[in-house]
Amino acid sequence: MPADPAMKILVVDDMSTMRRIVKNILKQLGYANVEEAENGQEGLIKLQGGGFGFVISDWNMPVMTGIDMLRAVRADETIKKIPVLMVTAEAQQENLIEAVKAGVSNYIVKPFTAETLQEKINKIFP
Amino acid sequence: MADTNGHLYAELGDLARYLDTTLRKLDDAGAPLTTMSAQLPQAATHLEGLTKLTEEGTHEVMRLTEELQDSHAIVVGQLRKALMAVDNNENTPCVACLLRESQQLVAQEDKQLIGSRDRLAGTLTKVAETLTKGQTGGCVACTLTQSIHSLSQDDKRLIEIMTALSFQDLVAQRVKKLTTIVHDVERKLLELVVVFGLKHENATPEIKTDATDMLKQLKATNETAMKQNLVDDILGKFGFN
Repeated sequence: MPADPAMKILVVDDMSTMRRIVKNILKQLGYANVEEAENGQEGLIKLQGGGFGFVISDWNMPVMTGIDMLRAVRADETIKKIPVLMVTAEAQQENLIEAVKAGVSNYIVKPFTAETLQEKINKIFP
Repeated sequence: MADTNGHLYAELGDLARYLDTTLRKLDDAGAPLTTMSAQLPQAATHLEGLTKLTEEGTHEVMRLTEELQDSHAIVVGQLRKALMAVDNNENTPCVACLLRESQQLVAQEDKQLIGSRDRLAGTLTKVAETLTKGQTGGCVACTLTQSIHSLSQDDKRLIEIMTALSFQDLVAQRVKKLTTIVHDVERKLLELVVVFGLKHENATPEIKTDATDMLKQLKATNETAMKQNLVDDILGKFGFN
């Protein structure tokens, strides 16, 4: 099912610049309903609050990493079906395998282009 | 037997002298070691400052980029106004068609992000030329010409600029790794200061107790940055200011 432009998207990254970049690209793609979180723990709390249709998360973050947040999301019955896209500088094969095992919906390596983000969103919401 | 004992005694004497020389050398190394320990927090602070500076600079570029994107939205609004104006003029139906096409291209472009910039510019140029040649709609032509100019100047690479700014995140991640290494080296140097301080002949039982506590605290900071007061305590306790 194609992505609903009104769906609420959560962008999780400890770097304010990356959150702003992702938010800006999403806006250009037509997704204006975007919220932010600075780490996995904050992200998880927001997700458990409900209403989110999609998550874009970094991997390396203080307090709770993106991969730990992903595992927590997949272990929570109420939010486990939310698609999670990892956007990370961790480009090692083992990282990708770890993310796939944890239930990631797709994976982008930084630095990335707007086209790549759009392509991944289209794959997650065909 | 006597020869063996004599040889062993000589070997032990050499070993004792070697140990004494080594300890003296270590004592000599103490001062530069401590100076380095004191300078490392400054290095870490400079690295953290680097992250902050690049972050601030990146946000400023983003602010300007977003202003340009907002300007693009205004241009699109102007095109829609122009379309309405031409729509009300019954003598220019083909121009209205061209403007509708332009509007559709802009809408598609918003969805597809980069797509058909050149086609849009070409179509709008055609519209402007048509309106300029006609008896009516001269001011609409001016608006469209300005819009074309704004689009060609502002819009093409805005998204690329925005995404290129992700360099700051990658720089910050590397600086963070460097900061971690600096903190680790600092911790190890301070452990050496404490250990050598305990070996020193003037170390009192009180200093020995304090030093043991400090070593425990240093071990506890393995995963975090050390507090400056702990660093100062250790250096102060062993006679370094």
